[in-house]
Formats: sequence, structure tokens, C-alpha cells
Amino acid sequence: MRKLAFTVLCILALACSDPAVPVSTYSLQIMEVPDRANAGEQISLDFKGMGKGRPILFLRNSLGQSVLEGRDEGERLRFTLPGPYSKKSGPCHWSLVLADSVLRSGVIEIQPLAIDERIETYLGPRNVIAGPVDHTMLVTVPSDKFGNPMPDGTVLELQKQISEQYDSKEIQSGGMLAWDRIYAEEKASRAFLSVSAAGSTSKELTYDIHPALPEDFEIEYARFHPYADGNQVITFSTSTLKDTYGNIVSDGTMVSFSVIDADGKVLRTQGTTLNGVAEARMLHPDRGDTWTVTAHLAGVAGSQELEVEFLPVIRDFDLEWKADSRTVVVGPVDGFLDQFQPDGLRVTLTLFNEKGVNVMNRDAELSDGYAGFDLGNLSLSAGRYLTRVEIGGQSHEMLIELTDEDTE
Amino acid sequence: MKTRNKNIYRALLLISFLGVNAALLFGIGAVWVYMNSGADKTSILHIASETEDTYLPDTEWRNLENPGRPMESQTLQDIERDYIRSWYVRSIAFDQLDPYGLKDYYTDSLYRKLTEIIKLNKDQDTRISLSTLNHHLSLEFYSLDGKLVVFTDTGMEWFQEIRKGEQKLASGPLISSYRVMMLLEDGFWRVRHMEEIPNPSNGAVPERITGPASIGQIKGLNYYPARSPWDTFGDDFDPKTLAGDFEKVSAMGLNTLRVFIPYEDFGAATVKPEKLQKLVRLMDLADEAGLKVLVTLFDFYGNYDLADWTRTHRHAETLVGALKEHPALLGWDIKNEPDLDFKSRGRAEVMAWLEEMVRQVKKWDKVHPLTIGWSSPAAADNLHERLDFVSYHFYEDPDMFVSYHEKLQEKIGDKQVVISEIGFSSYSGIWNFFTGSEESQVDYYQKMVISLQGENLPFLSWTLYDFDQVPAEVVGRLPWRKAPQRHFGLIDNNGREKPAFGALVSSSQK
Repeated sequence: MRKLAFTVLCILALACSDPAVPVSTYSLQIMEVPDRANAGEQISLDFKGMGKGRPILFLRNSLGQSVLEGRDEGERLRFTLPGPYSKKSGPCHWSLVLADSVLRSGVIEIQPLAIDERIETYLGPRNVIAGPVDHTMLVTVPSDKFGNPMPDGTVLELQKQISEQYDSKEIQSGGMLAWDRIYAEEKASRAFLSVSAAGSTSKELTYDIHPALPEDFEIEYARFHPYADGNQVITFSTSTLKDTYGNIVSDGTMVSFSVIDADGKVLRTQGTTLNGVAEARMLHPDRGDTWTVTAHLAGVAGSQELEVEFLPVIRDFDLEWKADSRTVVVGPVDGFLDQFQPDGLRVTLTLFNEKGVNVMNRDAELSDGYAGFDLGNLSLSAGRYLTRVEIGGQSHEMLIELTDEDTE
Repeated sequence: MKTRNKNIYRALLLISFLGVNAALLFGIGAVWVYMNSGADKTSILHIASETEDTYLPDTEWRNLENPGRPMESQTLQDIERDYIRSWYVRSIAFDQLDPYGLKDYYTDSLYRKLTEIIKLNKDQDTRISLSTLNHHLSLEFYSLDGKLVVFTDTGMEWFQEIRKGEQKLASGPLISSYRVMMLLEDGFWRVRHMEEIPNPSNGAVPERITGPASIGQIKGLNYYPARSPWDTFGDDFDPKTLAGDFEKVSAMGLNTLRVFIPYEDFGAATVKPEKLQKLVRLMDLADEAGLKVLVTLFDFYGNYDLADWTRTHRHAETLVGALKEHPALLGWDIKNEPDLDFKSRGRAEVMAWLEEMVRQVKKWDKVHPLTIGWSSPAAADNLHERLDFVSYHFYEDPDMFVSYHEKLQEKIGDKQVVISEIGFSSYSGIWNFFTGSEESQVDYYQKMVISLQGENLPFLSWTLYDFDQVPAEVVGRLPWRKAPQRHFGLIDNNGREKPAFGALVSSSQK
């Protein structure tokens, strides 16, 4: 019994002992291991090993590490690089390992294939301003069909089309990419680019050349008559806004107009350009005036000063005091054609007492050539008053007398 | 009789009623407290918390000149952050065999290639742990629209570990160089191309492996203040106490202190400035007392995981950078008794961490000598060729010392050795059957000192004081471990010098 237990113990002890293979007993011969290969082809490492144990292969490229088990091909132990390793260009480090020791190690330089049909390109910025300063940059990253970047010195053709002008240029890759600065032309338009190499091309790339900042411009005005009737509309317009290179500014560019009248008051209006011309409108004044008009694009460009004169619209008018209805009747008001002045013109009445003190102001609008002011129920004390009526910058005065009866 | 019984029943009933009520109230109270503790109320707001980066390789930009466009510092930070994280997510993906997170840091085409490799590794059950240790980046190209960047990462040092199932196949450091193209896509800089390029050839600086002469003159002790053992830099930090103690040590004829820097307590990867300030203060005081300080790093650290490497590197970098010019600095003890972690953490893992840490510290401080405080002479030959001097601890029978030491010396040649901990507990109590005494302590010291002087060995005693308290982290909670640990001092709890004090003083005056 004791003997049996001892035997069992011995067997257990043997079974538990470290089965590590002494490496010195393993001899290895390299049969076929490439040190260069092309991406995507079948890459195999063949060894011939003698001895106990089975080595494994460590692989490492720039994207990862893996461990491979070999396959017996007759006498040979063959390792075939799996896709992720055989398709990736650059150094692929391998080491053949048995237990804790490295038997052999090396590097396979995997070469990228020919350039892929599609060339990867990046273009930006996509909007540039006409002229010699602003530019865009085309970056192209030529790679093979597995996405491996091409070696330095790969030649590419950069092609450009701007307003029917074709241009091409050779660029060379370096450090994974080839690039070029493309300067804007003087003419605003859309430019087209592409990159090509033997048998491969990029997609179409476009960028827009926008007009540069406009230069100073002229303004003019148009109106139907020169009279300050407070009724018609005067239209201001700019000349065609262009940059230094003659490009018409983009539609919708905002132009501000300011008007300074004879009293120094400022009026503003604005318009946006269409085909480079901006228009803005303004109502005629209701009395004779002289306007100084300027237009500007804030901080960019401006126009000359333009003088516009408005003539008084009223030739003359009559005043009449109708004592029975206690009404001041204004009219008929004749316009520049001796016509009844159109409705709506403002008529103002100012009333002074005997001491010359202004006691009342009233406004009315012209209707059918006449206007009236009823002074009956205004609680004015009886006495003599001076009335002054003004229309369109013209005024007439008249003395009236209110009796007690009138003022009740 | 009946009424008495009745009264007893009544009383019992009443008491049990009160008891049930009390239990109920207590239960409700406990639930109430539970419901009202725990999650912070601010968590309702879902305020994005600033996560601490767990991956901190040393990164520098060497060149920003490029023909494309000037680099903005904000963009540079973004690129650097996303590039470092691309390595981090890649290391996790290869370790967990799960491509989770790769999509945020790699473009679609590269993501596909990486997932192919991960799938291959998953089929083979191969796991790769990796950690990059430093990145020296040079910008090569930055496109005009600010959306494409190419840079090189040259001489990148990294460490990898290959496992198959549970079995570890290989591990080791690597140096690689890459050219990287990144694209800005929806706010992330993603790696588009990653190509290996040849490493720059630079003349390797031969490493200094012999210790400076001053190591041989070491005579000192391991130091903790009497009131705050294992917590020198805690709330009880008092420069006056330190100054007094250092004066005492100096008067004993000793010249060296060994102090310990607890890793977590010092703030781990981001060293707390107030702790560092206290450490510098301690060094200043030591300098005033004419003492040198052997600084022991990474106390109470025990992770060693590859994923944690870069954090520990940042910790050491800060400390080494702050102290390397200090006149009181004697040298660096990378870790106290790391061989005790061999069992729980794996020997290879601990050794790899130590070896890399030695290399890193040597990079930052080329002047001060380096050692590792092994727990016994048997472990002290580990890494000896990488250390400037060998140090180990000896708590065994003094009669055995010479034979142990000679065995070690055979393995390490004529390398300088320091016995960085010797000591004997004067504890006498039920846990050691009243066998210890101050007499046996002084006996130990006399024998040890004779042996050490015979071998001409420098040493550091453990320790100056007896301690009232020993934290559980040091020797565990067991009272038969803790009790002796309290009585290793040369001065007892009442400030009385034990006989061993005299023995050490007289030896140092010889």
C-alpha cells in the first residue's frame, strides 16, 4: 500500500513538473522568408524546425499585433500572413518564438501597389475672394486600392478650369500627401479642379471665386417732378458696383443712402444690389428744400455727394373769414399747373391775439383744393386775432374778429 | 399569585410592544437615512464631470513649422489630446478584443482595418496590452482649411504584453516611429493614416551603473515622526518636530534619513502641491541638520498594471523634477519591498514596471543614484545591473547575515550594497510569549553592527521611535503582527532612549 502511494506521488510530481522545452534542442532553418513583398499578395514564411515544440509567429505592423499558428506543409512549417497584415504597406515585423525565446525575427517591407482608381482629395476653403492674395489649398492623399499611402515622389497631375481656361500642373507627393496652393483669379467665377495620375482620377472639386470689395461709386436720382408735394417718390440709384478687377458685387449687397436736408436733419433709406445696382426710394418733402444725398457700404466704399432741390409746390392760395360759420376757409390752393393741389397736403393755422401771443395751432389736410378751420367752439374770448396759414412753405396772414356771440 | 402573573404578562406585553415600536422606528429611520444619503443632490443636474485622464504619456511637440499654415495652440491641444486618446482606445480595444470607442478616434477606413485585426486576434484569443510611454511629435503639415494635419511621432517608447488566453506569451519594450495623418471630422481629430517610419538614429548615452562614493558612507535610519508613523506628510506635519528629530539624529552621529512618499496620498498622477511643499520643507530641515535623504517613492502602491504606467510616470516625474536640485537629496529608492508583490501581482509584471520606472527616473535625474529596497538578500539580485547600488532589508538572525550577504555578493559582483532596513522589536508580550526585550534588541544591534562593519557595509536602522499606532495597511490587522511593529524604535513612547540607542550611537562614533 505504501509503495503504491509512493508511486502515485512520484507520478503526480512528474506530471506537475514544468514541461518547458529546452530551446537548445530545437534547431531551425529558414526555408523561405521574403524581406520584400507587394501588398495584397500571399506572403508566407517557411521554416524547417527540428525538435520538440511548435514555434509561433508574432506579427506587428503600424496598426496592430497578432500571433499566428503555423501549418505543416510537408516538412516545412508555414505561416501565411493574414489579410490585415499582407495588405498593409510598410514594415511588418515578425518574430518566431518558442516558449520564452525568440528563434528568429525580421522585417518584411511591404510595398504599396499602384495608385488606386480614385484619388483621395481635400479642398478648402471653398470660397475665396478675387485677386492675387486669397487662395485655396488642394491636398491629395494618393493611395493604392488597400488604402496604403503612395511612396514619396509619386507624380500627380493637377488640372484646373476657370472660365474656359484650362490649366494643368505637376505635383509630387511627399510625406503621404501632395498639395498645392491655388490662388484666386481676378475674375469672379466658379473654378473646377481635379487630380489625376496614370489610370486614376479624383472626383470633381469646385470652389467659388467671389468678387472682392467694391470700389467707390456714383449715385443719381430720378423723380417725376421737382416739386415738394409730399406725395411723389424720388428714386436714388447707384452706378454698377464693381471691385478692382471689374467684378460686379454679389446680388443683395446692402447700400445705405443718407439724406441731409437744408435744416441739417438726416433721413435714411437703403437698398440692395441687383446686378451691381442698388435702388432706394424716398417721399418728396412737403415744402421746398435742398437735399444732400450720399450712399455708402459701411466701411468699404462710398459715393459722391448729390444735391437735389425741391421747389415749393404751391403757387398761391386765398384766405377767407366766414363770420357766420366762424370758419377760416383756405383755398382754392393752386399747384404748379394751376391745378387743384392733390388731397392730403398739410395746411397749418396759427392764431395770435392782439398782444401778439400765439394762442392756438391747428392742422388740417387739403381736400378737393380746400381746407377749413372752424373756430366756433374753441372757447376763445372775444377780440381781434391774427391768423397765419401756411401750405408748402408759403404763408398768408389775415385779421379776424370774434364777437361774444361767436364765442358762446 | 394570579394577579402577579397577570402583571408579569402585562409588563412583558408592554415591553415587547415598546420594543417592536422601537425596532420599527429604528428601521424607518435607517431607511430614511439610506434614502437621504449617497448620491449628491447636484447629480440631478447632470453636470458633466471633468474626468481625470488615466492615460498620461509624456508628450512634447518639437517642431511646429510647416508649409501649410501656422498652428494655433488650441488646435494643437486638441490634436494632441485626440492622438493620445487614439492610442488609449486602441490599447483597450486590443486588450478587451472589442473595438468600442475606436470610431471616435479613427476614420472609417482605418477603423475597418483595426477591427479586422481585432477580429483576427479574437479568433485566436490573443490579447495585447500596450502602453505608450512618450511621444515626441513634430508637425509636418497643417492644411489651409485647418482640417488635415500630418505629423511624426519619432522614437516613441512603448511597452507591450502579448497573451493567449490566460497564458502570457511575451512582453517587452519597443521603440517605434510613425507618421500620422489626422482629419478633423465632426469635432474629433481622427487618425486617417498611420505609417511606420525608421527610428531616428541617435547615439545612445551609456548608462552610469556604479554608485557614487558617498553611498559607502551611509549610516542612518528610516524616519517617521513619533506621532504620525506612515503619515509623515499628513495633517500632523510639524516642522518643529522634524527639526528636533533631525537634530537628534545628527547628534547620534548618523548622516542619512530614509523617508517614504505614499503614492495615493501624494495625489497619484497629479501630485498635490501642498504635499510636495511639505516634502521640500522636510528636505530643507534635513539639510540644515546636515543629513542626506534617501527618498523612497511609491509607498503603498501596488497596481503595476500596464494601463497605470503612464500615471505613475507622471507622479515620479513631478517628484524627481521638484527634488533633483535639492542639496539634501542622496538618491532615489524606487519602491519599498516590491518583491512582496511578486506573488499577488506576478513577478514579470512588477519587474517590468520597476525596470521601466528605473529608466524613466534616470532620464529625469542623471545625477542621483537609484536603488530598490528589496525585502531580503535573496531578492536583492533582481535588476542589480540596472541599479546604481543594491539595497535590501535584513530582519533575520544576525548570525546568518554574513552567509546570506556573501551569497548575494556572489551574484552581483562588487556592486555597492546598502542594508536599508535593520531592526529588532523590543516588544515583550503574549504574542511572542514574552521572549523579546530591550536587552535582546541591544544584543541584536551589537551583533549586526559588528557584522556590517566587518563587511564594511552602510546601513539604515528601523527606526527612531516606538509608535503608538500602526496603520492596518502596513502589516495588516492581526495583533501578533501589529504589536511587535510598534516597538522597533530606539526611543520609546515616553521619549526614553532604549539601550539599543546607545549601542548604535557608540558604533557610529567608532
